[in-house]
Amino acid sequence: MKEPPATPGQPSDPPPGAAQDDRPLVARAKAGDLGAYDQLIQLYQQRIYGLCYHLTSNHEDANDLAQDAFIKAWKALGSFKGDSSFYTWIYRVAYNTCLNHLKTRRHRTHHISLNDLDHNAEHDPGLVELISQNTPRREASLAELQKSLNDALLKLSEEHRTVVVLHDVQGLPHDEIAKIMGCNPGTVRSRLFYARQQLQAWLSDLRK
Amino acid sequence: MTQPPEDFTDLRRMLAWKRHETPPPGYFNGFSAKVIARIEASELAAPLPWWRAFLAPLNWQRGLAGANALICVGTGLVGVAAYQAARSVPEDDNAVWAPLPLQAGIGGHSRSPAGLLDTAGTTGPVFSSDTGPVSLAGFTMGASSGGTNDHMAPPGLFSPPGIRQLQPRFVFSDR
Repeated sequence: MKEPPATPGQPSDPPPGAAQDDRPLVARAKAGDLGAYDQLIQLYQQRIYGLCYHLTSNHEDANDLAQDAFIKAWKALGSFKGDSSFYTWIYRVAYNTCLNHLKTRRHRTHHISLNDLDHNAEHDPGLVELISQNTPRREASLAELQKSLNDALLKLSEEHRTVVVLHDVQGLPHDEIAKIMGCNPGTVRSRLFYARQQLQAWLSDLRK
Repeated sequence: MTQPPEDFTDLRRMLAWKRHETPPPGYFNGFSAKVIARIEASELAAPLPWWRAFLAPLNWQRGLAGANALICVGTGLVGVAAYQAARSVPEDDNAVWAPLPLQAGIGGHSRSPAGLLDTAGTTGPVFSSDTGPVSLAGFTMGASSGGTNDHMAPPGLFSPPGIRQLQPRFVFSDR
């Protein structure tokens, strides 16, 4: 299967040498160095914010959750033993923070507050091709597509949405996702397959 | 849908397109500063409790933590040993735990409870050394059998260990 084209400079790109380079920073942060922790935040802020945003489809919630995740991680840094990479660990903290938020929010009306598309979106060759092939009704604008996609994602359960976001949006491998979610890679694959099936069914109207 | 059910290529392209949803320009410029400010504010607002401040260095130095634990346990053991030593009753003859049957009366005289109240014509108790010692430990209401251990009070209940009891000896005189 052809992989979706990666967008340079986006959060889906692996952090440059993160696993190797962040060890001294993590050690200093564990010793209480806030300056080192500031650098760690800057290293992972886009990815952590991205996870929170794609799970909530709300910029304000994502902002709060990403900050909360980094604060919780700072407080729990003493318990980080280095069994996994800091990158995986901070992702797990953020995932649990989002999960708690989504579970408490389940019975309330959810307000969608989507971010604007950056200027690269309209020039994404994959997307242009997709729209021209499958969307004869050109009135299905990018904004409509964006909203429909987010609505469909929000229909998924938190676990299925997380798998889709981490794999198809952020580009993490199955093993890494399994570590973050605390399950085995087989579960990740089956959740991913089910979630894609659901999304494909829900988005079929848009692409007729 | 124009694709077979298991072909998710187009869907994945659409999902990958979500990467273009980005926060306002400059959003991440101040993000880490906000987090650090919140961390500093929370640490200032809620200082560590004294016991956590005391234990904080132990998180980083396991050897020191072990030594401290050893000292704590050793101090506890020494304390328990000292307590046990203080509790042990001396072997001299001054500590009397034997019960005193009520029917035997105080000072060896056999009197009924009513008789004990009848003090007319007496001059009060006279200390004497020819009768047995008296201990309140055996003075229980309704006691009937003499000389048995049925009414033995638990050691330490009336006579704290390590405290030497006075040994008054009462004799009711008919003078």
